[in-house]
Amino acid sequence: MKAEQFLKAVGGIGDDKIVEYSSVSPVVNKGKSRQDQPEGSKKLRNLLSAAAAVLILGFGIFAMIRLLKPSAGEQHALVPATEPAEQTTPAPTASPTQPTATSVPPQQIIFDSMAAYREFAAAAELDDWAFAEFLRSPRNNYEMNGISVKEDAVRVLNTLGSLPTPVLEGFVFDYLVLCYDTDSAFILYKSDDREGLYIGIAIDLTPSDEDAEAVIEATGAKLTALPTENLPELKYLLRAESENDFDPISFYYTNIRSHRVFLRTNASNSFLLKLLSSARYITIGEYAETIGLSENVPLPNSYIRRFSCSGMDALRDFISSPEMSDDDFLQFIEERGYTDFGIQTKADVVWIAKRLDKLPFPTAAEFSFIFIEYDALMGRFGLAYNWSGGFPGDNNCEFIFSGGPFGNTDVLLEEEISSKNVSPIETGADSPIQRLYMLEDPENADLNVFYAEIDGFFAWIAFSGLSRSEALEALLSFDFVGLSEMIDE
Amino acid sequence: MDDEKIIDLFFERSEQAITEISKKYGGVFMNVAMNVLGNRSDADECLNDAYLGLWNAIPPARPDPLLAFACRIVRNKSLDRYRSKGFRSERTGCEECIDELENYLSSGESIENEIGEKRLSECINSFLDLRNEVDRMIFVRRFFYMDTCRDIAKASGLSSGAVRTRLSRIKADLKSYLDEKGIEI
Repeated sequence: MKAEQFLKAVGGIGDDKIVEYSSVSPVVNKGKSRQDQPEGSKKLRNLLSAAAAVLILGFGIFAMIRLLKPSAGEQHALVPATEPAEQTTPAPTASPTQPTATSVPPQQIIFDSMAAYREFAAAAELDDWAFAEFLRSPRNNYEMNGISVKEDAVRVLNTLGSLPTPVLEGFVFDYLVLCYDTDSAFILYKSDDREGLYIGIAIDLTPSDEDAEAVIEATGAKLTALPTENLPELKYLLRAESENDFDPISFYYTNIRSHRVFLRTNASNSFLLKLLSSARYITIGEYAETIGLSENVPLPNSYIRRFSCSGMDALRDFISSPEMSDDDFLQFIEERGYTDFGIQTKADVVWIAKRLDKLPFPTAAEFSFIFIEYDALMGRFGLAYNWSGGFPGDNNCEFIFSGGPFGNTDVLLEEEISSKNVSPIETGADSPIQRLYMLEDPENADLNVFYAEIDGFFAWIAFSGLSRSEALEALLSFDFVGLSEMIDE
Repeated sequence: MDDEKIIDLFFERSEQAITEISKKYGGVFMNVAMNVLGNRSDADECLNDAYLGLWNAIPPARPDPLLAFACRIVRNKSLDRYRSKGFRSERTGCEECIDELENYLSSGESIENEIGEKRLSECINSFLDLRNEVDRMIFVRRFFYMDTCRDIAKASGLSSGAVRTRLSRIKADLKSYLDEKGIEI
């Protein structure tokens, strides 16, 4: 039998199953309100994120362990593999932190990556119209979750931004779910070198200074207090006793900076204690601003992988296109072929413009701009210039920027200069070029290559058709300006 | 807007029907088309074809549930387009599925007639009814919606390894189940 025939046969499964599982994919679910989703989807969403958070609120831990205990083959499940109907879900309770949404009250907001969280935070600083476009982008479904105006986003950010979280060595952020309905936020950290090893942390939104005894009393569960001498940030640490010694998943209660925290992991007890003792404790807001900035995480569900534009006029038109009427805008992106890059809405243009705006655009009197290319997946920008002394239209100079906010400049630069024969070049304290190296490659004398750090970015620069001294002189004649200055010139 | 109202709009031959169904289920449809085709412009075209297909089918059809009916159309259009396109720049969820199935399915005879296909569908459906919720979800997401294992893992909270392990077990069980029913795949 052919695979396609099998797939065709699967197309004939029952309607109930197609509907039931239509919304499991993060592509579909991201940011959707639970009340917007079909019943089956709600159940599955509960499976994903609510379980841990729900139970923090004081439900019986034995019941929870029974629910969460994986059967064979489900050892790594974060969530109960039982029928969702069996789950105990608390009635939503009013929380002082719950925002007054302008439309549908938010229930759950999911950030599939720290990049998505950062972009959401950056969007809250956009102009109102640009924020509205951000919401309308097919990439984002926040609007469906009660985020209608910037104030809604700000409330979400204020709620999340102040919550405490440990920075765990060897673990990376995987996703974050804000659950207003259970008054908690759930973060999953996964090991960056051991597949399947994870630590899930559910943090109560409402502050609580209760002590260990109160937790034990509230949960009515069998909890063992663990020593916290080496864990000064933790008010207490309670481990739930498992009914099954072979159960690889452990549950802990703690309180960090006046927020009750429920922790679930498949790491061993000793490993976790060691990890927590060496952890730094910061807020989610600080985490977003400082951790993993060098990770070049492509935006989830982003259909924009690449963008290129030839000529300054075209770039100027592109950047200002969101000011057009909707119909003109659609015609513009279609005619110019921008839809080929996945650009569909004004928000997509704003998204690209925001990235270009971070770039130090090279500009020099003797060089005219030819084109720019942006590789969204690699976080790389290429710009080409024509030298007035060269043939018109020739690509005499190229800058390729990476690193900066999209990667680790130091690593990129070190990689290049440590593996090649390069000469350092002094640029002077006032130069916009912080570090500069020239490649010594006598076999390719017609191509002069430089590696540099410019405004925090790593830059690969090449000149063709210029002598070595002309190339160096030309490079040092470049100034580096912002996008707006570049297109205004 | 609820499904009945959308269907009423189709019956009234109001173009608003397309707007409303797209507003309500456009994300699900796009997900299916992207999983199969891996390319936004192809997926968009496919969705346009699917909307035209819906426009032509309703009336006379009054599907319930509308989502399943429309999803099938989108999926079939996507698979048609997938077959007609030789080159794809990106590996799609559909291609992953096909690779996975190539090793799973025997190279024996194909089921040629429609009755055979229908029976296979019914058997797969009844097999799924016997599985637990998680298995059903994984199977449907993988082979109907053609999500990648990674996406399923992320959405379900299972690890990718656990999803693959489960899929492998589900497929083995399905094969035995179909064997018992006299269907060789």
